[in-house]
Amino acid sequence: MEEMKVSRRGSRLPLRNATVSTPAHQELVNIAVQRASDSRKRLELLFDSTETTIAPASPLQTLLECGNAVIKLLIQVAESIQNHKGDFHLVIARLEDLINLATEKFYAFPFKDVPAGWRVLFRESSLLKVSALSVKSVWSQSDQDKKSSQLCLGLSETELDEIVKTIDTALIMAGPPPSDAGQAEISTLFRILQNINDASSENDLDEPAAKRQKLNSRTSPYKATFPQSTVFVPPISRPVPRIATLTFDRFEKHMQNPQSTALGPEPLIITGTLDHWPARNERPWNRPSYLMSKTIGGRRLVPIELGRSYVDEGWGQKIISFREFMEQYILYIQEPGGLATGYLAQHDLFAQIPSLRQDIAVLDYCYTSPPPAHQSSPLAEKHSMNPQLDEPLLNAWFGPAGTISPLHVDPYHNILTQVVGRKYIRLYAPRESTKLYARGVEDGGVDMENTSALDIGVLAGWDGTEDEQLEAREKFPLFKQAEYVDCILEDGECLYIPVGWWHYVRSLSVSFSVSFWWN
Amino acid sequence: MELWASGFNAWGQLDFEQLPETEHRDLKEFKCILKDERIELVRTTLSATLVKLSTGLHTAGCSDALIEHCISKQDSLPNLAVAGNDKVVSQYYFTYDTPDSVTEKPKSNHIESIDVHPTEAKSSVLKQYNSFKSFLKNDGEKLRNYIYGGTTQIVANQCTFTAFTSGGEVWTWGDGRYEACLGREVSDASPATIPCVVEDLLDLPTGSIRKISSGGYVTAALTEGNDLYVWGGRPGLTKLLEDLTGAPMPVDFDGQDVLDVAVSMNHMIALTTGGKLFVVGDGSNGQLGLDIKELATWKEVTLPLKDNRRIAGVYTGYKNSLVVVEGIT
Repeated sequence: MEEMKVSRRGSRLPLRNATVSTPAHQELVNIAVQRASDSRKRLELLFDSTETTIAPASPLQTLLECGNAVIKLLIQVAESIQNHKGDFHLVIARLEDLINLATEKFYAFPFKDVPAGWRVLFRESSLLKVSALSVKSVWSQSDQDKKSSQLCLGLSETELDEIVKTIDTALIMAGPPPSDAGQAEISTLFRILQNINDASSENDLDEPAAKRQKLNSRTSPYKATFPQSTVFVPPISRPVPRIATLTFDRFEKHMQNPQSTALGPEPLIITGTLDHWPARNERPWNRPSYLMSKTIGGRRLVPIELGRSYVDEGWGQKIISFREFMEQYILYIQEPGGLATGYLAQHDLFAQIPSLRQDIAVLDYCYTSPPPAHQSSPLAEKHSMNPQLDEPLLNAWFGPAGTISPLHVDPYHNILTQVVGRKYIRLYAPRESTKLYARGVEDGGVDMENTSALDIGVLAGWDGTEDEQLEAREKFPLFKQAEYVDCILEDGECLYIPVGWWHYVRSLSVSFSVSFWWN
Repeated sequence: MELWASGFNAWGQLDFEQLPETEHRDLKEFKCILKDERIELVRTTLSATLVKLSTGLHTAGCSDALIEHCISKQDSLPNLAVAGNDKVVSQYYFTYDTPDSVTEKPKSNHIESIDVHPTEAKSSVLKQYNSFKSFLKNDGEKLRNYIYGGTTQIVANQCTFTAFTSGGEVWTWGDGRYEACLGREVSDASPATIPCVVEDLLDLPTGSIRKISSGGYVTAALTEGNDLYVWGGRPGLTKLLEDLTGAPMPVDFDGQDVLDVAVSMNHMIALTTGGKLFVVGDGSNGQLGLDIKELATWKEVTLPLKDNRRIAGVYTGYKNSLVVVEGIT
């Protein structure tokens, strides 16, 4: 284990020449010490239990699968953290060794067979590492350390980075804690970390502007708005009808009594419905700095899809910090041949960051009882098997201009709300399915029945070379007979997409949409 | 003799002298950790090292079920391999030509090498268990009914078992997700989970295989003529060697013969017949004996040995390297 890197700017949060700690940091230290002490007690009980005397019920019980040596080592480091004594770097290194050991086991077993103990070990080691980092400023300095560093209270930016990354990685790799108490612990941690970050941002406002710029360069150089885009804007040929602030009853009627029984309910743009959302008012999602502040200064980790479209060669996924995503994929327009397009797509960001959920509201429309998928949809039977959802499923879609969701069908009725930016959307009715070349089950057993083999951008003549366009039209001759409707969904509007309707989505600017799936 | 070691030491598995529990640091370079008339490395596990000295068996680190079992049997149990996915394979020897008559009886199949020495055995059976616990309960399944002459060595890495027979054949079996670790083709006729011959290791230029070592997602094999072959890898994991694939490939140390080899979780160590030590792979716990985070290609590491000493053999534990040094007579 290398020594923790010193913050690039040498600044410590929240007060740079701190002699006292802030309440938020003090709260973090208290929680960390308490967590280490609780952890140690429970582990000791576990260690003393044998196969004949059953250990008291504890979420840690499955750790017995990892062997006594692992439990013993955890007890040692927990004790060190509780007393903040011993070699800090060795404690961190040992916790990382245990996290690595658990990770190795995740690969050694097929996903469903990983013994529960290794997931618990990953979480427990991660949370102890968070505790250790949290108490670093009050750790008894060894003689060796004393020479180089003075007593510093507060948390450095690097430590805050590492703490947030450690928790988010544990949530992604090992899953959220199964118990309510475990989940509450995570929420509390994020709340305190958010407060520490917010306090430091406020503190920066007291600094002279020039100095603030320099010291807090991670958040402050962010422009007030997202960059403008100059991407190609497809022409609209058969516009989806628009209607202003539709009542609940009239929306239900729209679904239940379709104009055409051969088509079923049709897509509809509803305007004005999002006007009251905080995300479009006092908590503005179109401000990069606001989104950065809600993600603990861009430190939260998010899953990103890389590549123009998920059916392209070389498409991939990675997990990066929100800050990296903003700086590498959103805030600067990509040079041709530069980084692949990055898209935070179909991610329940609102479960991960509950405070962002407060900025939006589930539309009343999602509490209607929609009809089942139209009988003309080849997937109607499959979709009718979906269990009844208690609550609508929310997903965030945040990316630069030029992201593409290839032609596909969702498993539920969808209301796509456009919070920031604009998107071109083309829709095909279920009865057009035979002309749309669904992909079916592919090599490796992946079911792609809900995805079309058509690249609308190429077939419509917007993307690719002339040869590629010609080739695509020859390969898919029925495509030109398929009837569609299309639209540019502007910010503040929402689009109703009935279940079974094929849709192709292309962002025309930096865009933040939220989809609500319901049945 | 001397035992030198470098690398992971969280449980004090490299500290044969007693130290307070919290003081166990990884060794960042090779150090002599033990001296005795006779040193034989018996077993290494995640948390412990078991050695046989002139005074008997000694453990360093935090003992576990496997080490306890070895101590209770006073044996290294060379016919027992434990994989990273908990699976255990054990070989039982028989003086009978057809062990079936014995193994079909529920309890009498737990015949171990104590009863019959491998050299006297006519045949053997391989049994696989889902965990060490099921091994202790003898709750496993037969993999191969009858192996004439038995296998000479069985090793395991995270998900694969490798064995070689007295007839000079190398067999592999294990988790089909990591086909490269099997070093052979997987087909209906030779499924991943059944011991099958690695055909690339038949009829080698310098004779048949005399030793194998396995760790992480890599396996290494040495021939009678001291050539080294390695194969393995896992998608998404940095390759231990640049050109490592699922087909056994010879490793060249500028033409030097290889006397011994050992593979660990994410590093490898080799000893040439000229007494030179080479390491490759991850070094973050000090396992390379060099102050290097990672080595993509082999690099020589020298031990400050006295003039009349030489390295006799190399071993690995979990993310550490162990080297047995003997006096030149």
